[in-house]
Amino acid sequence: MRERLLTGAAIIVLTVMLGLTLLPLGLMLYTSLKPAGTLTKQVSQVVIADFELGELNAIGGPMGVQATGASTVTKVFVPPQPEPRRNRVLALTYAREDGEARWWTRLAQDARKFEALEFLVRGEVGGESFTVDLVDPRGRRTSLPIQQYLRGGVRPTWMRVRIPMEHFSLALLTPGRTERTAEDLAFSFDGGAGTVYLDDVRLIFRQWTLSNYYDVMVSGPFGRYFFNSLVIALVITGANLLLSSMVGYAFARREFPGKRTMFLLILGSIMIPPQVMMVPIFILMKHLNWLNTYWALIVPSLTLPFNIFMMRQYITKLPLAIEDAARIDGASDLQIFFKVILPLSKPALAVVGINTFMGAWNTFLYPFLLTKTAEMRTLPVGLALYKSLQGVDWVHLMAGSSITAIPVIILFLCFQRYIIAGLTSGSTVG
Amino acid sequence: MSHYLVWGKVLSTVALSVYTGPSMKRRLAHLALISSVCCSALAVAAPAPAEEVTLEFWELSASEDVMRTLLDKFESQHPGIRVRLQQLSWDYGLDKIITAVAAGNPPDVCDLGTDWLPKFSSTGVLRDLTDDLAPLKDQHLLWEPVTYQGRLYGAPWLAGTRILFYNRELFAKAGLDPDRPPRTWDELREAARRIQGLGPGIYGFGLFVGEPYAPWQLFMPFAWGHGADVLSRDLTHCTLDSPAMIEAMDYYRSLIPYAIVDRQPEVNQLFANGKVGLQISGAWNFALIPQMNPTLNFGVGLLPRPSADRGAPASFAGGQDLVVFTASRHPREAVELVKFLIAEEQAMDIAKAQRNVVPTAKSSIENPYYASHPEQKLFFEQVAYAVAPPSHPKWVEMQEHLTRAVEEVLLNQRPSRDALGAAKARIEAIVAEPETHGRISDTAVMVGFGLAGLVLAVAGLVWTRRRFLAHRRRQGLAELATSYFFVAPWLVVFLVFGLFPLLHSIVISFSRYNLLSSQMSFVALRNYWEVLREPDFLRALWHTIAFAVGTIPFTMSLALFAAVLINRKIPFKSLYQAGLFLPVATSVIVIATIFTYLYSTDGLVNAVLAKLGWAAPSPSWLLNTRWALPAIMFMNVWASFGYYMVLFLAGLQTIPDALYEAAAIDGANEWQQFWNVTLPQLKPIVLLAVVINTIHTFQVFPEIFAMTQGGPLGATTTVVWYLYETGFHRFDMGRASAVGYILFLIIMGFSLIQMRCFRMGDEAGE
Repeated sequence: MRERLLTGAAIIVLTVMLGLTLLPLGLMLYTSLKPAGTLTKQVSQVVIADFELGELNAIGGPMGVQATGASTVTKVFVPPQPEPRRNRVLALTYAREDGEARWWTRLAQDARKFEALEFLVRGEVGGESFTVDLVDPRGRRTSLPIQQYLRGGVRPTWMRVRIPMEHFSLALLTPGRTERTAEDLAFSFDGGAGTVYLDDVRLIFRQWTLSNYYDVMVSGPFGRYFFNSLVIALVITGANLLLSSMVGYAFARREFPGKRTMFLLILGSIMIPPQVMMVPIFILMKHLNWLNTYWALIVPSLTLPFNIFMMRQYITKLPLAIEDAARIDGASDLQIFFKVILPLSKPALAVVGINTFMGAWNTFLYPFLLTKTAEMRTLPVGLALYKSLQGVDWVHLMAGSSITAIPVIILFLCFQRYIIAGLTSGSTVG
Repeated sequence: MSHYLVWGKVLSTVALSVYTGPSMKRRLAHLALISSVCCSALAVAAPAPAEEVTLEFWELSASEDVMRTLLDKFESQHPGIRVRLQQLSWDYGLDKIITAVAAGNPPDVCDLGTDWLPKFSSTGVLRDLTDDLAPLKDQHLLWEPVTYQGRLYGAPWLAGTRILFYNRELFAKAGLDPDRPPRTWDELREAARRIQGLGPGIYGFGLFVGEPYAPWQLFMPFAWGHGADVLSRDLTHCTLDSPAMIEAMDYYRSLIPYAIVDRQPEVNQLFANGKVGLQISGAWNFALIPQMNPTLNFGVGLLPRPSADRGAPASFAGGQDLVVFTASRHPREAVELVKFLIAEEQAMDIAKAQRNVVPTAKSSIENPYYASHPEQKLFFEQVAYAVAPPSHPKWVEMQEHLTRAVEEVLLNQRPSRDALGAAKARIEAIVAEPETHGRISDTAVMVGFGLAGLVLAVAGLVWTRRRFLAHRRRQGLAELATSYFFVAPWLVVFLVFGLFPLLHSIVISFSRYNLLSSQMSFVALRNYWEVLREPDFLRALWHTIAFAVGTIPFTMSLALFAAVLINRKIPFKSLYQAGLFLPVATSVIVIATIFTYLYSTDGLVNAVLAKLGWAAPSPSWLLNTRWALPAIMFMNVWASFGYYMVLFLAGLQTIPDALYEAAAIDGANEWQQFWNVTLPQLKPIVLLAVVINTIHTFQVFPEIFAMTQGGPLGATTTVVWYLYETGFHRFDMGRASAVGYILFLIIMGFSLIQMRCFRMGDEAGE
């Protein structure tokens, strides 16, 4: 009974801890799926124009009217000057003859993020008629007649119109361009003449979207960063699995002059702050002509002192009897290492592997210093630069952060069994 | 085969770099320059350039796409010249440029922040562009920052200044005229007071702290407009204690009750969300506001002047200048690129895309773009009143103390006279400090390295020879060769990428070494001596120790607690284990990004506190001199305990069940079992964990780098941040290296003490 109570308490305490631990990461993931907003806020819409700002629309783009041939359009703000306590609307007076007559405004928004376009409209007498157009960056337009969304057409009273974005989307799938930008919004008038009042034009965001990931990975540079990080982390991990266990084996099992000194050097080099070496390393890499290459990011980490230390501790504890038996059977030193020591060290190798991968994947200082071009940046460097360049763009920042965090998390989830087992026998100070 | 080539290259370059000191490198650079000048002279004589020239161009803030488009245009207009672009950012750019200059590898053309320029002009690394740019002088604004001793060392490219933004809606609510921004100091304060009175969560004005530049850049316009400045006109003494300066600061502090004191980005966001009545800000607000809160009804105006009949509506002249490094091998082409980029057409493209800068070309005011963007046009009017900071080569060091004075007043309520007086003393010291022109001769460097190498080699040979022979008698040569074969991977990597930089940095730590000018002189132990007597270093050391002492016990006990709980037979064990480990697997940069938001004024932590009815500290966590370090410490514990938990979990598996069974038979309860069985058995692992954690906490850096940059008022300056700042902000690499080795000794000392303590515990227990 007592036992069960304690276990129950343990589960409750652990669950609370788990919640607190995962909260920030959860926020990261949650934010990365929002179309816009910050970690705690969700923005539900973008106001395109409420006509308080005059010639600029609310998102900072210009607006205007356009008429060809004998057609005319004029736009007037009502009231003409903004007044603190009064709503301001746009009045468009048109006469459509042989040419085009339209009002337009710049959007430059990613159409995938939105669910619908909404606006308020009324006519002077009712029955005025126009099409709602979205124009893609190449100037191609999709036009949707207003009657389709406003049964009975425009009326003298204010009506709210809602047009789902899917209805526009076909034309926005521009071949050759990956993003689907809605460049301009336009209202093109049909035949006849009249006056139409507009207010409160807005785009309504979707609830969830994967477009942030798409933006940073495909349109943005994170795909390349990801590749670089992966190459570097995999090579460093592979090299350490082999080389660090070789060195660790030598320190655990073999006698040779300089062994004690070298081992002290290994321990000592764990303690030097890496910042001390920044300038000397940079100068060295420059002389080697390795700046901005994978070499500079990989070679210095081929055998990491901490891994050597781990492997040495583990191998020291392996029973000597198996090795002796192999030796009696005539196995050479190399054979003993590859056929006996390595297979027996699997648990320690798992620890070394995941530790090294995590370290190489997340490291910031040297990749930042030694890379020059965007093609060579790793994820943390790219993320730090992205953060300082686009400081307020939380949704993309969090998508980039998630891309940086998720692979290591998955790796850990796959290998955690081995890690516990490996640490069990490998990490004690001998 | 290829391996031989690689290693041959490694060895020869190592040898080469050992025997060429930095001054030698300079000489080589000069040689290269001279030869390139000769080459270009030849090129003038020859009818056509024979080969394609590639220019390296580093640029700070425009988006890569926009810049690439411009460069493509340049390349098509100038066949035979190609431009390689590297994108930097304001936060990280300076370090990279300096490292590259120090390594003798700067770009041909570079974009520099206006206030960095004097630093570079004075060291002779920039090309004198006076003759090239003289014809353009009438067509552009803002030449002061690029002028040093009467010569031009750069070209003004893009100008950024600050204007007043105000929230019309809050103005109307507070009974103010929404069409009339305040014009004088009194009107500004009155408007701020009335808006602040609208209720909690609404602020009248925004005052900046917590960053290296923003605090003084916001304050100085008030001083400039009032006729005060930091340095006298001839730059020989500091005038921070002038009556006008003190008046300006007194006025500034009188705004505190009606303002939010926060970091500039936070204030920008609050303003965009309609929570701040008035804010002085750059043009980036035009990009930010539509993104954050498109319906915000705001207006803009010139900065206020001291009174209607006195002073000027001065503002801060920031911006970007283009420079050509003397090390450039293609100066003619580089100058072409500079001229191309500063021309109105190109600068206008950047201004349109970025919306936070205006071209320095005077003619841009006529550009049709500004007719449709009247708000942005105001920047041109403001630029006329914009003042550039003094062009003293050590301005970068001085501004730090100015920021400190502003923060002392805003955060610690220190009287203006005191705070400015303290800053004046420090700035006077910087002005008085002579430039170190002494340099170590090539012979001295060579003899030094040679002797050291000889001594090491002889000692090593004598020592190993004896042992080597002894071993050889026992084991035979083949056996030894195998051993060295196994150690070789580490040995080679260590010798090249460990030992060599290590020796190099030791030499640097014994020298006065200016990163920028590459001047180096041997000063023996003086760096160490000076560092140990420097109050800022001791404070940083104290912060580091506080950090270690304040985190290690929590990290360890939390990790142990979680490990013991998970080790019970509970369902979904691996779920808990993995979940608690996740922060460890996450990049510090990611974690710092998230926590910066959580700790911000309108962040989650404050929201939760408000729900619970508790007062949040003001200013918010990372800006509060008392709470910034604990806030980072908390984050550190959160982010790292999972690692040690896994270590302990592993350790727990090794404890034989028999021990617990025996203890249970003896009648020990859970608690007693923990103390008498678990803890003693775990001791070796706990020792390892404590040692690792100590090393990590003593080297804490990325968190500080990404979150507070050592601030506010140095409250989060740890030893490694101090090292970084000394080396890469003050360019004193000699001292920085000395700090590094002092830290190394401290870490080693602590580790040894810890091991000794645990050993003694062992012996006592036996």
